[in-house]
Amino acid sequence: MLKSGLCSNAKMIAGESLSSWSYRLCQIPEVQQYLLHNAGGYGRGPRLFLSLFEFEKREAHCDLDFISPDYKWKVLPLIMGPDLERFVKPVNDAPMIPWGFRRSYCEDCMRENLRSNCSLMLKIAWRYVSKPFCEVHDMLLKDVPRQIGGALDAPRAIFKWNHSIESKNLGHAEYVNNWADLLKTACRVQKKLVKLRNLQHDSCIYLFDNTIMSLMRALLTPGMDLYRHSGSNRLLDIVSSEGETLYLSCYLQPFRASAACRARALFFIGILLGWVSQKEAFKSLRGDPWESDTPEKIWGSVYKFDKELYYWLRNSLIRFQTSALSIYTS
Amino acid sequence: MNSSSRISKAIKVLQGQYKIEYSFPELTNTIEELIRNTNITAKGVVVHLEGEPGCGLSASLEHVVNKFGVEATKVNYNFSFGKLSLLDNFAISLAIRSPYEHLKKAPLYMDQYINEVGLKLVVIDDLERFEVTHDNSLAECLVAISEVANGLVVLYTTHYRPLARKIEKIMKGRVNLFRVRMSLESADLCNIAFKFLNAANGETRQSIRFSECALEHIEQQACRLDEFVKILEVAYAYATLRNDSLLTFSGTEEEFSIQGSQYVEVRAMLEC
Repeated sequence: MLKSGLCSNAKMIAGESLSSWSYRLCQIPEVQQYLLHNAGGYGRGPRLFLSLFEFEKREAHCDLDFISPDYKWKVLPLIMGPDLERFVKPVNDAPMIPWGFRRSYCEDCMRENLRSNCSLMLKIAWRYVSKPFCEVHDMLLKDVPRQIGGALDAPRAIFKWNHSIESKNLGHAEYVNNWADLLKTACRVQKKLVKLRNLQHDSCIYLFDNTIMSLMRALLTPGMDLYRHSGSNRLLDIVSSEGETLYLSCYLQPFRASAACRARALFFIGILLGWVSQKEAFKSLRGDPWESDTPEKIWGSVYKFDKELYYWLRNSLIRFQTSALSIYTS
Repeated sequence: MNSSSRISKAIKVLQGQYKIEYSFPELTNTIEELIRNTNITAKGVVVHLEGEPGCGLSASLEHVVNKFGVEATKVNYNFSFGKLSLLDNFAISLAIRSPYEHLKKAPLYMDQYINEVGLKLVVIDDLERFEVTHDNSLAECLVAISEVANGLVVLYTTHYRPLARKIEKIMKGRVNLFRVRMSLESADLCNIAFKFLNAANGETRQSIRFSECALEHIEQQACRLDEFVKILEVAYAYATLRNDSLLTFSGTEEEFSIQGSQYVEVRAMLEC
């Protein structure tokens, strides 16, 4: 393990993801020297490593923010020490966005960390499906294109993209301004859900999570009226692949949707749970009479879009019924 | 203290395991003033630190980087078969370089990054090492770095005169250029000697002092900083091995040290 005096800025920041920490460690000259010394056998000449994962030659399709309990890697435990155990795959954790779709970030958190630690960092909390808002700043998370979020040097790439012209053209600030009331309500719903989830017993948490995920899957299905709204064409959703069935896209959509769309789904979940009044919903939806501001209208919208999806959702809600969430079903 | 612990202490000193920070006293004040002016005028400043080889330029740069902490960064040279330009190396020192891009001008996110971090000073030692082509690109890169964000103070050293002249020519009227000429005075040597003694005593937990004749001897000398520190190391290692409380060295011993014969002799003695 590296001596603490050798790299005081190598300490793990609270809430930091493993991939981000692996990237930061690689910025330390001593770590690079160690890697260069140990990479002699590869015969690739002198080079700089982007991340410890690059050195470890990780398998594809594995989650770089969590480690398997039976990890047998060489470099990570040596350099990171006992802190690495904190990243063992969590049990009973809220649904996470898979590594391949990871791309949300909070600009303010990144900026604050840059000021305090002089390094770029990504938080693990930005990967929760039901948390499209930053828990520190109550701001809607921003999204980057998929290839940027999946890079080994994602903290740097995301920072670069955040200051690019493409990012500015998306008009995130404009969207947040236009839908301020809706987002404020959705943020309240997120906080209430987090609070309620923490009160659940370990054995009941999966019911809670599955209920929320079933609702999100139905509400975020592409092509639905609930999903399409003003400004949604600029939200950088990951496009479904060609030939994908409705059920597959329905399953994947909560992970692929942008933070703004997930926030909108949370808003409608709030209506279904009775946490958002009709008056408040009407105001949040900018007084549009065609929008679904009541549970009946939301159910009607799902039914109208696809009857099978509607019945699947009903069955799922009955199957994962929990006393913590009482959903209005007409 | 037994002989093995004496040997281990002497090795510590000979291997330079103590920390001695040295800088020309007026240098940090000059830079602080320049940083203040840069913030007011929002324009880059380039400072060329000149001096004879071995007069302590690199040691001064190290000290300045440590003194300014997060406000300063040192651009290290990364071996790349001439592929990495000065701007690439600068991006590496900021930990924001992508391996998939070669920078020819400072990108927008670099400005933002520097503004957030609060960087004010960039230190480049031996600028000529970063030359990748024979045109003016190195000098232009240097100017580009000085103009990043709201303007930075770039402190550099080079012993390659044509390069320094080229930079002066390019920067004419664009950014300010200062030349600071450095030379080691006897007072500086005394200062270094006492700092060395404190650092070495701290590392080896001894209380060795200079003898009067040694101090007189130091004041009369004029030599390179690295050679001077080497003499001190050898003399200190000898004093440790002989269990002396006073550090003495005569003229003849010093001459031997400069030639390296005594140094080799001590190392051989320690290794056996």
